[in-house]
Amino acid sequence: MSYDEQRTSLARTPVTLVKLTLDFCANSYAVAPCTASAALEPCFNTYHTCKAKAAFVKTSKVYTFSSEAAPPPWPGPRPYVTEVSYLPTEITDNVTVTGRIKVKLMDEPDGDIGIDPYVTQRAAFPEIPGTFFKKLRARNPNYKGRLLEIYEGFLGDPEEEYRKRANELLDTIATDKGTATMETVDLLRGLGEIEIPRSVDLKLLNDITAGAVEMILADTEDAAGLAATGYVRIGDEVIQYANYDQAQRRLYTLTRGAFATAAAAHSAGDAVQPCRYFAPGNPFDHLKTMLTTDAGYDAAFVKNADFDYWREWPGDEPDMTALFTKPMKLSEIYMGLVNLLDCKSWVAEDLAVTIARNIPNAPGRTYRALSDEANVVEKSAKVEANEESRKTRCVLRWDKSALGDEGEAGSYSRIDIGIDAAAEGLEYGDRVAEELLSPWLKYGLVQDEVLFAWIADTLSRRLFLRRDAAPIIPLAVELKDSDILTGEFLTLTTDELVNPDGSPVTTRFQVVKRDAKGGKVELRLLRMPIRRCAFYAPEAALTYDSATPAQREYGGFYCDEVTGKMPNGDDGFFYY
Amino acid sequence: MNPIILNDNRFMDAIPTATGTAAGYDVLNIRDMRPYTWWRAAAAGTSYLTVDCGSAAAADCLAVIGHNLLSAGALISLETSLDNAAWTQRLAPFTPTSNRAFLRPFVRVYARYWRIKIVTAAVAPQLAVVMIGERIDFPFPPDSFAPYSESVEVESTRSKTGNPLGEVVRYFPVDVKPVFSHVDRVWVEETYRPFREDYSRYRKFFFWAWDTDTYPDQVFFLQDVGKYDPTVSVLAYYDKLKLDLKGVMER
Repeated sequence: MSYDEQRTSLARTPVTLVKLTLDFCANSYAVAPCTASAALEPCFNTYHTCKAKAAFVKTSKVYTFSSEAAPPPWPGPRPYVTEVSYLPTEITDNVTVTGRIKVKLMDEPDGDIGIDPYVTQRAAFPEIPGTFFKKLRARNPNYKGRLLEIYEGFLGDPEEEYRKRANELLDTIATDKGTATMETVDLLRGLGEIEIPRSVDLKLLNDITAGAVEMILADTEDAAGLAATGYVRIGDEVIQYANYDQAQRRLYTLTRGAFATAAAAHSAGDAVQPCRYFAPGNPFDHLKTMLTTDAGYDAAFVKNADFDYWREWPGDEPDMTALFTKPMKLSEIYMGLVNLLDCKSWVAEDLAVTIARNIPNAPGRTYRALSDEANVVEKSAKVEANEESRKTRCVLRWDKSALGDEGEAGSYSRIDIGIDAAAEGLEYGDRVAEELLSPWLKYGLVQDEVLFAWIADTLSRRLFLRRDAAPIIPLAVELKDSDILTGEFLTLTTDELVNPDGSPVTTRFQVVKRDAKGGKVELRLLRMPIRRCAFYAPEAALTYDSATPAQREYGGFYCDEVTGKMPNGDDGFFYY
Repeated sequence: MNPIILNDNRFMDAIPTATGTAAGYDVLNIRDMRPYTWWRAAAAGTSYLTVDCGSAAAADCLAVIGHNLLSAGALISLETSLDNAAWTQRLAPFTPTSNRAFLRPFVRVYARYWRIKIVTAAVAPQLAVVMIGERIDFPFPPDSFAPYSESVEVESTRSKTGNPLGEVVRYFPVDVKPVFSHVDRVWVEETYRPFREDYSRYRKFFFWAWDTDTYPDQVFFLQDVGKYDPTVSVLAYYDKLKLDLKGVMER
């Protein structure tokens, strides 16, 4: 059977395969080209135990382990794997999830058969002491950085049907009370651990006047790491430098009083703080730069196509720019811009960072149908009202002064406010404000009308999406639904939420967290806004009643002019 | 036939050899008592697994678990030799009726060299645990008992409305709990108790077959997890000898 046939069948035995690839010598002990003495006890064909390192020929040996709670799927794997903890994927306001995977295994006394090529030559044979993983670690202390692969499949299937779930580099092997734990390297270092600009030890060597066009830095460790061009902040002045002579620690061709700061004299020993400047550009490109340049993520771990898609859709963002003159957490800067763009960004199941705009419906979007009857595990579901997600007004402060604190409202010279008067009136009768402080929007950078129109659209779209609270439903699904991924859209028919007449609702949700645990997957579902946007539909689109769910995603239909409802009672569509 | 235990193994007397072994499937695996490590022949054809015991040693039983002999259409036989040149067949070639464990008693014989011959046409044979040794014969059948009790390690999931969503079936634990009444004290003290004290109390695995004549397919690879507490009231007999054996049903 195929993987998916097994996954969706009613009864099956899941098997996890873990493959660890370690270094192994191609030679046989004391046999040419190995130059070790035959009089000595043989090595274990690992570099650490090698007795003729100059003759070591590096190849690799794969150690395969399978689930301990299932028979080995075929001869070969040792059934030691008790648990694999994958990173739960989650859409939060902070992308700083760790990329570690933890594999727990049984450890047992082992006779080294098939492991030690010279086991029968050992004095202790056949009573070889030691447990499998303790010996593995002792013979391979250089295991760090070696390949760890994880596959999932089902008993009875051939190995080619198994799905690779991880392809990581090993970081640690620990043993404790009959168990071993292998952890992989954290490929996505948390953005919260990264500062931009960096805190550095840079100082002026000599006094400089307010008109000086060059300056020398004191001899510190960090002087060597300064960029060739850029901006620095000394006191309350931002200075642009066009050249940096690293050998002499000399910054020259200075532009004093940059970003409307006041040029001033500075003294020897004054701190010199490099600044991080994002030149005017598309904000989605700024996000990619933060990930690949500031965080140093490998390009394979950033979903460029997703960033590019949403940059172009609808593609009306003005150029944005920002200057950061003191160290900040990159996560705050990154998620601040993501929030301004009304997007979600998260680390997906394949450990790559992705992004998507918050829109209630979109042409081409498909929904998987879930229901209490067929998918929701008993006693797993509840409703979190998530009242804090409801907003009646949105306050945007922008055009920050160069030296102002990003978190202080007083640092911003402009303010725009979007208000949902109807929500604040009869319907809810209260004011619930969302405040955005954006160092990215700058007055005068683009044509006023364009910028103001974008701000007005942004505020009204945000209120449109946040007018009603978006309940969250945590629930669990069975292994058969384990292909549901974070960020995926689905419809859920559930009595956890009911219509005014008491009937279960069927409405749209987005998966905002996924955590696989044994034979189940725990999900958190965020209800999408009830109201939808309208798009121009293809010429051949049908009437609403006869349209497919995919066609209805366009919203190119006429609703009732009095009720605003579609013929079947669904809410109507709105211009985005 | 009465119940049989086999824990003795001529392959432990010395390092066995194989005529051809696939890479990664060392012949030593047949004697490590792990049903999850295998010897596999390098290719189909005729394979021999041989051991030189150093001096003549006795055996009267062959048992194997973790094999593909039925799937491979293998003919397996047992031969002995005193000189590693002239071989005498002790078990005629046969093909097991399944790929599950089997146990074959034969007439007790002493020999220095023992070998298993496996002939396959197209598939390389593989074996996880092989024992050739002196069996322990119980003097009579157990009291009325369940030959084995099989349960299921399973994670069952139902929906909010009670529909079955899926079953994650792990494995099938097997319990065998025979009770023997009025067992001869001499047999218990000179045959069973040494097995208990030297072997089974260390939770080592052994083959158990309760009736190889009528139920030759009911052979299990088990360990004794119970206490040794035979009750006694009548001279010359133990009133009750209870075994508490556990293992896993092969698929």
